[in-house]
Amino acid sequence: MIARIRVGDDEALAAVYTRYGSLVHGVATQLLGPGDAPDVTQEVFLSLWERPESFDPGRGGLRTYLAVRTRGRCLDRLRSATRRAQRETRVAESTPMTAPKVDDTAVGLVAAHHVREALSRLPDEQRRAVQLAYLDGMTYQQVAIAMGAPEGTTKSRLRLGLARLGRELSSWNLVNAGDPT
Amino acid sequence: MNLNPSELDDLLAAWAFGALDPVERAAIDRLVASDPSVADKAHELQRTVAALDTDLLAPPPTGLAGRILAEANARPPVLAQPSLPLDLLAHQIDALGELLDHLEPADWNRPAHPYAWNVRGLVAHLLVIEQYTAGVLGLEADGPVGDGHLQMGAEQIATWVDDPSPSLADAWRDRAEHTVEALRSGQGPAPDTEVGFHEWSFSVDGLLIVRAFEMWTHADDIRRATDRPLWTPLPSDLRAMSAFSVSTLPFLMAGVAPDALHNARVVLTGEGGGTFNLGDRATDAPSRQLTLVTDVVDYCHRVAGRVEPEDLDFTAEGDLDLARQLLDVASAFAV
Repeated sequence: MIARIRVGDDEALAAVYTRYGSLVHGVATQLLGPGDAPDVTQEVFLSLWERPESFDPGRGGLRTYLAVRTRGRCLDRLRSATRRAQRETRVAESTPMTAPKVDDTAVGLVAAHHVREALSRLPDEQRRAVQLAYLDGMTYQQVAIAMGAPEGTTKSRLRLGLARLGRELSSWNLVNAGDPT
Repeated sequence: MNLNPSELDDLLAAWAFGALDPVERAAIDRLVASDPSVADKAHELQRTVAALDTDLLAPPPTGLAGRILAEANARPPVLAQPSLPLDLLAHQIDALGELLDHLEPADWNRPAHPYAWNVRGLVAHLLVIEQYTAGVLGLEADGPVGDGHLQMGAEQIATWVDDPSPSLADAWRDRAEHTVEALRSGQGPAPDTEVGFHEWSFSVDGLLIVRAFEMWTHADDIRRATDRPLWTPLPSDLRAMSAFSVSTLPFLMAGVAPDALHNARVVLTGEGGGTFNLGDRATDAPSRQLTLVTDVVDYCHRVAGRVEPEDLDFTAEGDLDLARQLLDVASAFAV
C-alpha cells in the first residue's frame, strides 16, 4: 500500500484509512478527547500521503507507524500551553471507547482482551505508571508527581512494565500484529 | 548525553511512551538516529506501545474519510517530471553508446536473444532503424523503406555482421545523434505532427518515446547477451516511457475488445511510476472495473515484450480478464 501511495494512488490511502482509521481515531480520542480527534486523524493520514517515505518498514509495520505518529501528534498538542487547561476537562467531555466495528474482526477483539489481560497482570505501581503515561499522555515527571514517587523510580516502573507487557504481548503475537504494508 | 545502560533503558521506555520532556526527547531522538543498536531496542519498545493501542479503537466520524481523500487529491504527491521526448531519446543514446564503447571484441559475436542476430547484427539493425526514422522525419532522403521492422535493411545488416571493424558503433551513434541534433535545431516536423512508422501512426513526440524505449530494450538485450547487469533509466525517463505506454492502452484495447475498458486504474510503483485512470468513466471510482498494480520497470519490460504476462509480478483487484487483456496488448509495439 505504501508503494501505491508513493505514486499517488488515493485508493490505497483509502484502503489504509479503512483498515487503521479506527485505531488512529481511537488513540487520538483517548489522548485528546472527541473534539480534536478527527483533526489529528486527518493530519496523520495526510502526513502519510504527503511523506510516505517517512514510513520505514524496518522499524515496524504500518500499524505501529500510524499509532506512533498519532500518539506523537496528540502529545505535542496535549503539552502545548494553550491545551494544558483543556486537558483538565478532557475526561469529563470524552466519550467511552467504542466497541470495534464488525470489520475490525474477532481477531481485534481477542487482541484487545489480551492487552487488557496483560495490563491487569502488571504489579499495581507499574500498571498505574503505564496508564498515566500511556492513556493520559503524562511525562514521567508528571507521573512521578501524580504517584508521589521519585522520578528515577517512575522511569524504572515504566521500563519494567513495558518490558513485561512486551513479553506477554509477544507471546500472543500481538507485537506487530496486523501490520501488512 | 552520558548515560549508563540502565539509565538509557529507563529513558528509552519513557521515550517509547512519549513520556519524555522535549529536551530529553530530542536527545534520545538523536541517539536513536545515530546508533543502530539503540534504534533496534527503541523501535522494539515502540512496537510494544503500539500493540497496546489495540484496545483503543473508535470509529471516526462519518464523512472524515471523504474529507481526507478530498484534501489528499488537492495535494497530489510530487512525482518525477517526465523527460521531454528529445531528452529521453538522447539519454538512451548516451547509455547505449557507453555500453558499446565498453564491449570486448568477443562480445560483439555473442547471440543477441531473442533475435537470430549476434550483438553486431542487433546494432546494425538499430542503425537501419535510425536511418528509417530519419527518413520518416524527413531528415534523410534515402532512408530504408518498406518491409517489416525486423526485415528492414537485411542486406545492410548482413554486411555489418561480417565486418569486424569497430566502425559500426560509431556509425550508429552518429546517425542517432544527428537525428536528435536536427530536431533540436528545428528541422523536421513539429512535435505533434502525425507520422507513419511501420504500420502505426504516432505524433513525432510519441515516435521519439517509442524509439527511446526500443533503444533501452536493445541495450538490455546486449547486456543480457554479454552477462552484464540490466540498467534502469532515470526516474524522469521511466516516467515518460511508462506514461506514454499506459496512454496507448485504450487505443490498443479498442482494437481487440471494443467497449471492454471503461474504468480501470493502472498503478505503476517505484520511482518513475504513477497512477493512471483509463476509460470513458475513469473517475467513477466506486464502479472501478480493475485496479492493476505492478512495478514500473517490470511493466516497461512487459511493454517491451521481455516479460510475458504470466511471468509478471502484479496484483489485480476486480476484472482479472480485463487485466490479462491489458497486459496482452501492452506489448503491441514490441519488436
